[in-house]
Amino acid sequence: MSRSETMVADGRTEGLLARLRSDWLSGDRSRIARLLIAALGVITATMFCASIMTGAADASVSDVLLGVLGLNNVEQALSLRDRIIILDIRLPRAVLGLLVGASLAVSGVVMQGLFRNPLADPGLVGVSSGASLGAVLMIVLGTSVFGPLFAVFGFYTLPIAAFLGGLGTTLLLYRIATRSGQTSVATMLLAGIALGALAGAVTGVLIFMADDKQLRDLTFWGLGSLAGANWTKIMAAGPIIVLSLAVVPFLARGLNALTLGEAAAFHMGVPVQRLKNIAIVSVAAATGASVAVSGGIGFVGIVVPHVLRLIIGPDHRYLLPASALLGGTLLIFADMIARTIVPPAELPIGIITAFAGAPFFLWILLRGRTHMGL
Amino acid sequence: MISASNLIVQLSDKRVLHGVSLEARAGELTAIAGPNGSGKTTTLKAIAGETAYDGTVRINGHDITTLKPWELALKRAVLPQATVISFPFTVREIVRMGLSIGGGVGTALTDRIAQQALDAVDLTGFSGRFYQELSGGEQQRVQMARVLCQIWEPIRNGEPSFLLLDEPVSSLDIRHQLTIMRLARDFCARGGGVIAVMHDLNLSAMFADKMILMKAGRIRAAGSPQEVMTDSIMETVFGCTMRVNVTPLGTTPFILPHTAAH
Repeated sequence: MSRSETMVADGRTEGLLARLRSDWLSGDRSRIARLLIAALGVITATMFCASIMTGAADASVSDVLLGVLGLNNVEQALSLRDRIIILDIRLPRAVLGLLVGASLAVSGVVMQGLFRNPLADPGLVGVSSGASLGAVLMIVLGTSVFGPLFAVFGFYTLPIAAFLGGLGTTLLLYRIATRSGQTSVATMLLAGIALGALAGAVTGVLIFMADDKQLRDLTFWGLGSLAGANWTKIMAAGPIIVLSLAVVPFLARGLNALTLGEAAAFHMGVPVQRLKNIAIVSVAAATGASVAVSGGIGFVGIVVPHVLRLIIGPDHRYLLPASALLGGTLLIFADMIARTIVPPAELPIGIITAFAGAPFFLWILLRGRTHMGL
Repeated sequence: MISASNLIVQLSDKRVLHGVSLEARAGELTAIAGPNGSGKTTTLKAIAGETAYDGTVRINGHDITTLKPWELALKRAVLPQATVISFPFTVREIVRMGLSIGGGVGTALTDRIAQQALDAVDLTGFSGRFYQELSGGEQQRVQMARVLCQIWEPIRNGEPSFLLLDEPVSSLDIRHQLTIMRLARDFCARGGGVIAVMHDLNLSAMFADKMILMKAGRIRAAGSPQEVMTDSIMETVFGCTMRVNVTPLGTTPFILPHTAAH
């Protein structure tokens, strides 16, 4: 690069930095938010590719790619092993990581907007436990009691059961914690613990009743893992997650207004009851579908939105897409760690997110005590 | 014009409004005053469409129950008593929320209106501050700016717009009490209408065209400040014997707590 070009580039960077700085000082974070979303898009794509290229076994992605496109010549003929590793193991895993991560983070944002509090998270307030209960109910009693359901819904049965479990818990929690439009944080968290414990107890009874094969299924499922990722799971949970993710951007303005209170949101023209109904169903659907395919993966829904709010602010028009991308990226990254840290075995991803997320959650509590109505 | 007729409001099993009827005309500032628990705020909430009521409330002839929330939001804006927010919004972001109704307006215009609203409540230079870090009075003025943005045209499509203010000066210092009351006055002068729940009788008398005094869920007196601020009405409504005075150069009545008989 010549000297003058360097100067031009510097000038441009400085111009942008100066503009961002003046945006920040005047309280306008929309440009910063749009830039961050673009950057997160690139990072997510990179992480997705990196995840397909890393793993315990060597497999050449470029060969597989060429093979799929029919471009490789005879000498480089694709080994079946490579093809399976890339297309049937790593790719579905990355896709599922992206979907589940995005869904967990977005559920967190919507739930926090709905409860008007940054500590509400499906994992913390028992919604995930409710969804788990629905799923376990299906795994244990599925073939005997709910046999006909499997016949009708096929592989959608588990996500649907988890969705219903999550929906029931969310509705109950909202009923308990919100009185005439005011949500009590203490009630919400404590009721969440109680509901989670209750769901856990019922789940425990079911596990007690389970036979050996069901126990095996339950154990692998409950640890919170993307290990069982395959295209069937993606077909089962993917449409539900994608649908919820597609709906929530329409709630963004309403959720913004809701942060000022239910009455204020109504004064500002938001049909509050409808907003709440759609938000509750979306959260339950996204959480249910995620729990059904990956078990309990905690803290993504609270850490991701919190970090992003520090940078781009709480405006849901930007927070929702940014959270989806960062949630997806983080989960793919955590999964890469999970499957490479103790090869050839792998750690359940829920352990990694808890190790990173729990201390972070404590830090949020210590730092934000005054701002969160605690 | 906002007209409410025979409003009855029941909260749990206690009746708090017993048939309240009032009219608030465009171009006028209507102040509602009265002792604590007399139903002032409940009346305002019923008019805002926020509380369930029996009776009718009309804005410019439209029954508010027939209007969609966003249609209502373009005809009237409401300033609540206090607003607690658990998310780190900046002042600018809060104020601009007021402008997102009805599809919003262009960005440049949005910025200009938001800036004007902040200037109007004497918060120039506060746009980058975090709402949660402001004092109660500053937060109240930010909310006032947001409300002004929601109804930034006193007359919209030929119909007057209304501001419903619930104790708009309760946490303000005396200078900003005047700022906000003048702002409300100015909104009326430009063709809009204001209904304000007030605790300060003197500010009400100074700025209101019409004062409504409530007691125990009923209207006890309504009329110009001169008509309403009399010794006998003050005693009936507040249960406290006081002397009403008049400013030397004018007709505005005022009342000093010093005159209260023990």
